[in-house]
Amino acid sequence: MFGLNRVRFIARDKLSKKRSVGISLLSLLLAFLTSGVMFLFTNVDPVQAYVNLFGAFSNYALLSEAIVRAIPIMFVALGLTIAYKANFISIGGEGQIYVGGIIMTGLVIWQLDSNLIPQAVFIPIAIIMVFFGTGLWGVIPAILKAKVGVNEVLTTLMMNYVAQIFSNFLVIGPWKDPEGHGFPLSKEFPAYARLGLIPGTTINVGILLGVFAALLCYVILSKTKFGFEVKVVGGSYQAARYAGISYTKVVCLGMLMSAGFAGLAGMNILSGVTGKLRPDFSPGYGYTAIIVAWLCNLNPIISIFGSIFFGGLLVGGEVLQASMNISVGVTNVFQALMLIFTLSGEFFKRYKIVWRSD
Amino acid sequence: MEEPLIEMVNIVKTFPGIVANDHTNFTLHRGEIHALLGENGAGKTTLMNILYGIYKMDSGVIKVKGKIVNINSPKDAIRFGIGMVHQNFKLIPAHTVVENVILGSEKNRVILDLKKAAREVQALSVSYGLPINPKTEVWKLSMGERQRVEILKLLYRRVEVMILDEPTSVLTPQEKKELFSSLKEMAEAGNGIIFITHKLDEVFEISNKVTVLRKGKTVASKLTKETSKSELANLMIGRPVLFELEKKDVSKGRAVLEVVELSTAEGSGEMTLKNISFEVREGEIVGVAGIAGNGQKELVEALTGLRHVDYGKVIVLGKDLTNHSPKTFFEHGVAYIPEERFGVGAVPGLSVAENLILKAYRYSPFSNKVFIKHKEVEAFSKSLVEQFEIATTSINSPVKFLSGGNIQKVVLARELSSIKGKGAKVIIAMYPTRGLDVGATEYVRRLFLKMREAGSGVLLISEELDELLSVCDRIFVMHEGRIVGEAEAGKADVERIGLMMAGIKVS
Repeated sequence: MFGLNRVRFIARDKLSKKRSVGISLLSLLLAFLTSGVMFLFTNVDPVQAYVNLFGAFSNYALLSEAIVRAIPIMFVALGLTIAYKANFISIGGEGQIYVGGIIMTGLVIWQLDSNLIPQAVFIPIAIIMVFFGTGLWGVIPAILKAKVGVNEVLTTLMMNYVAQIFSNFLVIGPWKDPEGHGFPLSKEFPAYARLGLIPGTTINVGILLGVFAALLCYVILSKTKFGFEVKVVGGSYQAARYAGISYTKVVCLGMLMSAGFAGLAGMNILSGVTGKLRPDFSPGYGYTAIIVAWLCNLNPIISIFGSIFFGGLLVGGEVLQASMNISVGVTNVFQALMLIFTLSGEFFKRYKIVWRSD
Repeated sequence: MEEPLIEMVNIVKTFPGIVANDHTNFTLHRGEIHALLGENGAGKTTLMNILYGIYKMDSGVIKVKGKIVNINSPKDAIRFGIGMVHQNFKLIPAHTVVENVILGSEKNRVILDLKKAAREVQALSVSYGLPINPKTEVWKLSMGERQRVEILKLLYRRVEVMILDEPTSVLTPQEKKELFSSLKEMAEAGNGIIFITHKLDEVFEISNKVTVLRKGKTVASKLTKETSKSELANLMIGRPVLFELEKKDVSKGRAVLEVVELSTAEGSGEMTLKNISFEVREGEIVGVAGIAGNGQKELVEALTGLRHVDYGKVIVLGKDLTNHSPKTFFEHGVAYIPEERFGVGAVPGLSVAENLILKAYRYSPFSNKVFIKHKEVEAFSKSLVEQFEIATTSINSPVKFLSGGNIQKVVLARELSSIKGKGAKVIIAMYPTRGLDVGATEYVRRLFLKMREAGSGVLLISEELDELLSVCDRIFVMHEGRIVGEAEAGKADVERIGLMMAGIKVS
């Protein structure tokens, strides 16, 4: 049918750098073209739309906003990079953001009551608590996979709903600010629980933590014994067993870090932006980060820039909505198209197409 | 004479580093139950996957009833009347028998008439002696019954050629008898049956014709009644073509590996190793002969910490390591060259250097408590690449881009180099030359002889008798999880070993 049975995919023997980059660029170009068609269907001039969409990168205020958005995406993407390197396909970033937010808010509320932590070290202590607390949440699907063989895609995805809905429950119920006129918001975080701004900008210091985390991630993955074990487990589970590497240990520790970083994303949103717990406080950063991690080829350093790019797209999408009256959903479709085309591109990096003549 | 149902001529199929089918020929006539015999890796399943449209051959011709055809997918194959039952069944457990049978069939395109289909399935099951209730869900069925569903699937599609890949491996003796009588009925009705197996007994039980494959080549095609078990065994394994390898006299030292009354069982309770005892001494190469699937894999895994030992002991250099971890084994000087070099012995996506430190990365000088010392790794890898003559563009290129022989050299280089300052004292190698070209094969064999002279003990599991005879000091023969015989390599009688491998008692 349609001559499709004459198409054959043959594994490439070698892949040159040039071809690899070429395929990546072509994938992005195709994503733009396809999205352009989508714009046409919504009666929008694609060129104008792209100008608006990427407007975020031409304007200082918008770029600052893009970077603020990029911080949580960056933390989650770094975490996912570790998991994906071990071939553990976690979709749990979004839920981990909420868990991080819950732990942070809990800590703040407890501190407001008890005042036990010296205020000067509250943020550092919070970082540690959020990291390890969310990390333990991330270890649950790892144990389920390693010990009982439960598919991690399903567990991590389902745990997202648990975390998000529980977070919403807390803010509507027990953690609602009694003096908040009935709004579903927690108490305002005090100044010592907030992340300050980098002087002279509107960007919170979370970006410095994010860049530091990326460097840390890079060092862990490419310089340490643990990073080597992650690569072996990700490369071949059987070879890992043969080499005496414990799958359980590697995956649990990997997910501890993965979720830990994602938890910091949640903390960053609350301490750096909103200043309080709100319902549905993450607009899907955890899912956007999946795209970033793959697009950046699981490279922590490139992920810094990938996150800023996608932060810009989110801001651009809002500009688009305001200036051209297009739904924000359009930006999501555009993002998804980029992922689809890039992943398809990955396939063509490994295989070439051959048309057989009958 | 009538045109043959299937004719496969000069089929060539290569996988990276391995020639699976090397100008293979195969012919099937109506009414035949044709056994396709060969050891694991001989290319039987590959050949049939080509016929069924799963693999694409590199070159060759397939004729169905005299006409040259192009089979690009199982769908094409079904259209030409060819069907296959795989070793792993492809059924949907939650669906009923009849739903599985009609799934994807050309009939019932628009309107699904399950009742009619059920009647047809019932009729087929009665006429071929494949008793089954069409309305039962598949998950409730035994493996034998599931196999019947697979066969009914093909009968429902009116195939005339049925390929069965090792169909008896999942059956009880009773189910096997029932299957054989059904197959005979199908053949009598004018169909052709291809029966893939490596078990000689079954060839004589069921087939009227047999084609033997070895290393991807067709070595013989005979009427079953005109051949014998020992002839087939020899054809399958191959007459020894002795390599000229210099084997020095080496004095045997103390035992480096002692295996005492070793037994293992599967989760199902079936014994895979039965009371195995032997020892390997310094300066000795001990061979294990046997047709693949007779417990060799289980033995090797038990000797490297990868499989739980239920009874007996594994002693390395005088130390009882029974049921210790793989790590403990290699820390005590046990090198292991596994059967699958791609994906077990080496991680395809990792670089040559990374594969070379796959086990040693955790020890000095390659790392400290936390960090890998890349300089040390690089120097070490470069010296090994040179010493073992590994052909690679760089120590940083992924192992998957290397040829089969060079991947094996990476595995050997790693395994034979020392870990924690201890050299390899016991070398366990499973099919180390499988799929390698002549040069690489000879390299590997010479390497084992060199290790023997250096005082290591080698346990070599091989399916090639000539390899065992040219390299080993002693040879064991394994059959169905037992050691059934032993021979000194110098005085070994190939006929006798072949018979023992086939499970025939030799006095």
